Amino acid sequence: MSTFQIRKYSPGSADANSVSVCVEGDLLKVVDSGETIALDDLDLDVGGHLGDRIKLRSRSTGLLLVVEDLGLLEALAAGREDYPLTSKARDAHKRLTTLPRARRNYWLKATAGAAAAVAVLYFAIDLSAAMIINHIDPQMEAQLGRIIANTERLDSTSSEAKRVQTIGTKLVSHLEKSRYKFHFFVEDDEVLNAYAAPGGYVIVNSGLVKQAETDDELAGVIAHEIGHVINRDTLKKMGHSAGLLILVGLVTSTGIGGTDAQRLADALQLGTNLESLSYSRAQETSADLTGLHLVVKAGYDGEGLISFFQRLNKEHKTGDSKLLGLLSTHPMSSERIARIRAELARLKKTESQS
Amino acid sequence: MQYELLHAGTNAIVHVALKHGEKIKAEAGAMVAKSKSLQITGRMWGGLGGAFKRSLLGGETFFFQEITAENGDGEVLIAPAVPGDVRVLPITDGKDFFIQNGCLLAAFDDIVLDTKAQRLTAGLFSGAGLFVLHVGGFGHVVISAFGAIMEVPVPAGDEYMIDNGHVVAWSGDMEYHVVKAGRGWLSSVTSGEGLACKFHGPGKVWIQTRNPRAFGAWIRRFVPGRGGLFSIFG
Repeated sequence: MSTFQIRKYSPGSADANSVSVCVEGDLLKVVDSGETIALDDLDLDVGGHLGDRIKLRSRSTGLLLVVEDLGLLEALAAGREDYPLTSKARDAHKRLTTLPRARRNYWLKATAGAAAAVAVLYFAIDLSAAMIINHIDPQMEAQLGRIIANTERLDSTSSEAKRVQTIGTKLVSHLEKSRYKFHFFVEDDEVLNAYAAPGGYVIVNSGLVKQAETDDELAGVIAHEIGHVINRDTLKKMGHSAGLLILVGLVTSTGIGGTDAQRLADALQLGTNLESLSYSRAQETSADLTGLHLVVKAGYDGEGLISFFQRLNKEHKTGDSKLLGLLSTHPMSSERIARIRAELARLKKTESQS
Repeated sequence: MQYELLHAGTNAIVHVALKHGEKIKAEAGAMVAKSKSLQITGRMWGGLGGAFKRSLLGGETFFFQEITAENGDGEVLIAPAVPGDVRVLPITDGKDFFIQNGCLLAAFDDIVLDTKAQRLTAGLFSGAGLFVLHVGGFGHVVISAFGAIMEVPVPAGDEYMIDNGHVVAWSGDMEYHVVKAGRGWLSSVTSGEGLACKFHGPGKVWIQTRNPRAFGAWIRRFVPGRGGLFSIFG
C-alpha cells in the first residue's frame, strides 16, 4: 500500500503540517494519527500558483489536504465508479500530466502574440511618423534642417563649394514646383559621401567633389540627394528612428523619462550622424529616379551617376573601406543600373515623341 | 547554525553564527562583516544555466556568495542594499514559496532554488515581474523588502487583496489573480489603486509596506532634470 506525503491544513488555518496518507478502500487514512476521511466526502480541485497542486477538501470538516504527487491521484482514480471523486481524479491526472505541454503552448502563443503586437506597433510607427511629418511645414522643416546640418561648420565659399552650388542651383531651377529653398554645401571630409538634411540642405564631402571628373558625375550625386529632400526621406527616417526608440523603451519597460528622454533627444539629433542614415530600398529608388529626371531636364548626362560609381569602384577596389562611404552604403548594383537606364530610355523616348 | 534578526525594521541585519564546516548562501554584496574563520566563495547557484535564469529572468545577481566556516566557528552579518525589513522563513514539511525578483537575500541548509515564469497577466500587472524565484527543499530563506514586512495568513476558502507592487513572497499552495482594485475600472483608476493581486488561501503572503515604484515616482519629482523651465522650480 503506497503512502503519500501531503500538507494538511486545518479549518481556518493558513499553516500546514506534513502528514502521510494512504488510500484504504473507500477511505483516505492519515497514517500518523489514524484519522480517516470517506472518499465520497472529498472534493478535488487543482490549484496552486503554477496550477500543479492537488487539493482535497473534506466537505464535512473543512480539512484541506494539498499534494503534488500524482501517485495519490492514480490511487483515487482507481476508486469506485459511482464516486464523483474518481472521475475528477482521472481528469486532474490527465490535466497535470499534460501540464508541461500546456505551459509550452501557452508561452508559444504568448510569444507569437507579443511578436505580432510588436510588428503592428512597428508598422504603426511609420504611419504615425508620416502623420506627424505632414504637419511639419516647410519653414519648420528648413529650421530643423539648418540646425541638424549645423551649416556654420560647412564650406560655402571654396571652389569645390561653388562648383556644387552651381550644379545644384541649375538642377533645382528645373523643379516644377518646390516647397523648399535649396542650399548646397561642401563638408571637409575625404570620405566619398554626400547627404541631405530636411528642408533643402544638400551636403557633399570634399573627397567626393575632388573625385568627380565631370559635372555630369557630380550632378548625378547632387540630384539624388535633392530627390531625398523632395521626398522628405530624411525626416521620415528620423521619425522612424525616434519611434523605434519609443517602441524599444515600451517593450523593454525602460519607460520614457530621465536618461531615456535624453536618449530620445539624441536620436532626434541624428543630424550629427546624418551621413550614416540608411534609407529604405524604395526611398533610394525613388531618389534615383527623381534625381535622374532633374539631371536630364538640366541637360546633364543621365549616365553620369552610373559611370561615376563604376569608375570609383574600379579605382578604390582595394582601398580603405572607411573612405568608400557612398560606394559601400549605396552600391551601384546591376539592378540599380538597370533601373536607372530603363528610366533614362523611357525619358528619351518621351522626349523624342513630344 | 543559529541566526538572529537584529535592528528589525528599516535597518534590519541578520546575524548568523556558524559552526565549523557549516555554510550559507547569500546574494552577492550582502555580506556586511564576518569573522576570520569564514571564507567567501563566489558560486553560480544551480550551475551556469541556473545562474543565467536567476540573473536575467529573476532579477537576482548572477553569482551568489557561499560563506563557509572553513577554519572554525564564526559569525557573519548580512543585509540588503535597500532600506527595509528582513524576514527569515523556515522551509519545512514540504512547503515551498515564491519570492519576487530581487527579494531573496540568503538561504541556509538544503534549499532548492529555481526560476519560474508566471502567467502573462500576473507577470505584467502584479508588480512581481514575469519571472519569480521558487524556493523549496529544507532549511531557511531570508527575504528582504522595501519598508517593513508583514505576514498575512490566508486560510483555505479565504481571499485577500494586495496592491500590486507590495507583494514580496507567498506560499506555493496559494493562487492569485490580478484584478481591478475597485468595483469598476473608474473606481480603480480614480482611487489611485488601479490593479491589485487577489490571493486565495491556504497559505501566507508577505507584503512590503512601501511600493518601490511609487517611491521612485515620488522622489523623481525632486530630482533636477537636464534644464528646461520646470527644473528651476525644483
